[in-house]
Amino acid sequence: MGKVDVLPLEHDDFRDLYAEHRARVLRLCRLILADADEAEEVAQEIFLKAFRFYRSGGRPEAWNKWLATVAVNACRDRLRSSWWRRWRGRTEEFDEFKAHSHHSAEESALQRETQRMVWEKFGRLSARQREIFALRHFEGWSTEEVAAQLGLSQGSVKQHLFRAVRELRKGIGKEL
Amino acid sequence: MLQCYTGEGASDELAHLRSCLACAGRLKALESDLNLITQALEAALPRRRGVHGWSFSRWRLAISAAAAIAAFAGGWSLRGASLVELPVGVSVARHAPVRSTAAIQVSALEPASAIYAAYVQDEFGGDSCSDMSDPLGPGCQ
Repeated sequence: MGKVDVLPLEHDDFRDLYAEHRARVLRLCRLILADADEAEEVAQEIFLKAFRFYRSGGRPEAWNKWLATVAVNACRDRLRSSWWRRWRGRTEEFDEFKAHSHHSAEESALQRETQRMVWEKFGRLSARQREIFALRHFEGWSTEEVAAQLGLSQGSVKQHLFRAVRELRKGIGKEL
Repeated sequence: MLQCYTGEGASDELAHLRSCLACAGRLKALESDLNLITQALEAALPRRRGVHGWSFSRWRLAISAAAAIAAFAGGWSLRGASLVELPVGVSVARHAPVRSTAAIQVSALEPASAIYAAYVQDEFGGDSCSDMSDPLGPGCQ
């Protein structure tokens, strides 16, 4: 992602934009793709598109919304094009867990296990459920906005969200 | 409950949550679980399988392909065996109805006496009309 550093000086605004939104876009991609490596690649593509749009004079009403929309579409394209790669092997390895330092070894182990279980369940959700959960819970979109973005009815969005939450709660040993 | 958690619940549902301890408890539990889930998803980042994972997957693919080919080859060889190398009893049983059908077809065209004569000739040899009192030989001349 360091390629943005070679941007000409007149694009300082875009550099700020990148710094402000990069982490959020990357998180959204990770959640939808459930794969950190692919998320990095897709996030780069998204910011490349954003830069072209910016350079051509495009200024959306809200960059965060615009970027989230582009991210959802880009992730969907990636999932379509790489179905065979995803079939080949599911995500099972994890980067370093961020365990709180004040936790005991036992608590940290429990925390890691919970995180593993949650990610395992999350990875088994359908792409649609992951999209809806990410947009609703992480991006803070309303049900109406999610429905409009994904071309679904509000009832369908609620249903997907309910199922996603039910599965994720099973991952931590709870039932809805 | 989820809609109430996200602040999109209907007004009567929100009012109920304020007055019902059980439902308020359920909402609290949901809130706590979602916080835990959100933290877990924020903290741990999934990564694609490494070299070992890919290696295992490649083997899995190879084994699946080999199993499919073996199953196809086995099925094909069994198919050939059923046509060519059936046990003798099965073969006879299969062909018996064909023979009887042929006999019926022949009997429809030939007189019964001619069939009888051929049968006696085959089985006992000699003249089928050796015994003229045989009631089954009305056609003897």
